[in-house]
Amino acid sequence: MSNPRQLQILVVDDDVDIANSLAEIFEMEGHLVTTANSGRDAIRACEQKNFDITFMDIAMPGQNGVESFFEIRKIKPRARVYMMTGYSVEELVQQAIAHGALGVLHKPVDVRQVLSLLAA
Amino acid sequence: MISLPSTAAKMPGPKSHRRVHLVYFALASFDLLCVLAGLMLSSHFASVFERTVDYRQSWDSIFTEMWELNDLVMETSAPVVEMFETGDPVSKSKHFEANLKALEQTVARLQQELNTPDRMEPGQDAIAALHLVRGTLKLVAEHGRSSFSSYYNGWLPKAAHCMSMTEGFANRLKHQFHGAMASILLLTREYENQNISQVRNLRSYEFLVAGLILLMVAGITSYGLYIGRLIRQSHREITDAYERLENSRADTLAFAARLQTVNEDVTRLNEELAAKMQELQDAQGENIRKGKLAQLGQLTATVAHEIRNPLNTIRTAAYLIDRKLEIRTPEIEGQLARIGKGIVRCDSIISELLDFTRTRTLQVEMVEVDKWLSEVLNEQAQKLPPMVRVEFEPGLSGITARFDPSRMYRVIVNFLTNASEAMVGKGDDPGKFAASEPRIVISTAMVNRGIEIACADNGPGIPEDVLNKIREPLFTTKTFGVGLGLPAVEKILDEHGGSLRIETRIGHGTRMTACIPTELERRDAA
Repeated sequence: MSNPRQLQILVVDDDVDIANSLAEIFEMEGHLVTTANSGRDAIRACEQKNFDITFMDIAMPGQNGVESFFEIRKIKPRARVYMMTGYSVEELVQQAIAHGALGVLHKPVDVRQVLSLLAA
Repeated sequence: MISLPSTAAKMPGPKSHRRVHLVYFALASFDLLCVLAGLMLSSHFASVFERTVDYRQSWDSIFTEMWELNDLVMETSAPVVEMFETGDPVSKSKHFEANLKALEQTVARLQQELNTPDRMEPGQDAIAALHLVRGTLKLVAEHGRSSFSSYYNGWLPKAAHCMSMTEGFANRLKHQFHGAMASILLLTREYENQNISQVRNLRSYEFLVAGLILLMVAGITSYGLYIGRLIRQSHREITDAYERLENSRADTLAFAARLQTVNEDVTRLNEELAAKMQELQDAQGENIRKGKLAQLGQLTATVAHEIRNPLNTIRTAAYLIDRKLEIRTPEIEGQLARIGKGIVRCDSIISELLDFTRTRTLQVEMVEVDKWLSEVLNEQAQKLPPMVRVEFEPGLSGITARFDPSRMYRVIVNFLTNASEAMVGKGDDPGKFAASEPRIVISTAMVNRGIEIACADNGPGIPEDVLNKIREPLFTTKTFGVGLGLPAVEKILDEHGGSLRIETRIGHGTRMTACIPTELERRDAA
């Protein structure tokens, strides 16, 4: 299933089920998805590939999502990243927004809303 | 340090006053006594003088009479002798008898005068002398008359004998008369001496009285001086005491004023202390509450994260199932819808808990209220049941206010959710709708010190028993939810220094107003 606007998407979440189910939804829409289960993996992936859009969980063990976002921004200054969180860790969210994150998605994410972001 | 007047001034007491009175009374009595003595003395003097003058006059007249008698006495026998020379017994006899009569009368009167009861002892000698004179006068009269009768009868020798006898008795009469005169003279002298001694006695009394008067004057003078000194001393003491009293009065007033000030200070301090204690108590309570809330918040945050992740998985999984279904039946779609609603319900419970337990500091910023609210409403209105109409009446065009938009967002969400649920529940059972045309009107307004965001619905209103408990945490009328919605709203508004106002009318609807005191700025519409 090919999509005229096929995107390279990176989904980062330490919860494998979340990462996989989101990846499956995006793939179903015809996009190419890479999943990572830690900030470190995400950075490594960004080093290897250019992603059109990244969905990054904030609360992760080890390097959190915001720190990972900052690292990715260093490698790819134009990276488009949405943060995801189960609850508002306001300071982290504000930092991310201030450094160019596109927005914050609150879990449980509204799938239609996420897909509309891809269309934008 | 202020010293209060210690003791009263040493004043002449009632005792010393009584003593002064007694002394004055004694002096006055003494004075009266002296005056009386003086009066008695002068009265004595006057009576002595009067008596002396009386006696002097009476003795003077007696002596005058006696000197006149002396001539008569000297000439008693003269008519008898002359009878022989003239030979005229008749006329000479008359002369003789007249002399005798005069003598007799005068001596008798003298005797009577001398015989007054107050005459003194020497008077008896004079009376006796006069008695002898009267006896001799009788003998002279007897012999003279005998001489005259003898001569008249021609018995010349007898007449001559009687004449010589008469002369002899006349001589005795002279002597006796002189003796009586001498006695009377002695009597007057003695009487004068007596008066003189009486006067001397009185004069000694006079000295006594004068001495007493002098003593009295000296006593009065010295006592007057003493009293004067006493009065001066008393006056000085009174003046001193008055000054002390004035000073102590001023001191007392100053002390009272200071006391008043101190009292006011103490009262103020007490009030401040009470206020501080209350503040401390409040702060302690607040700290405990915050501590508990912080713990609860941490727990809630962890739970929220741990539950929202599987919720997220369920939602995405449900979406995938929905997409991958090849055979769709209403039952399967109904089950999928239930999964979706269950996820929303879990999420809203977690949100409520997070709203209520969140204790982080506010992230305030200047927000253009109407614009921000319009965006929030657009987003949230979609999440409400479709039959609920949401209207916005902006009243703060261009005005920005300072608040935490993410926290205030929760307030708006709560307002909308509560209003919607009050009118249509979950929106899936029209039989339970409380309003035929459910409508929510959100409006903004500028008030004295900030802004108000109101959310009015045309639902059933809130009964009084519910209204009384609606602000209590965990109180709910819904079959779903944990009853932390309005407490969370109140908490958020409280953190902003604001308050929640609830107005309701049964059958007409409810209006909830968030009052937020805040800095305002008018930003140009451009």
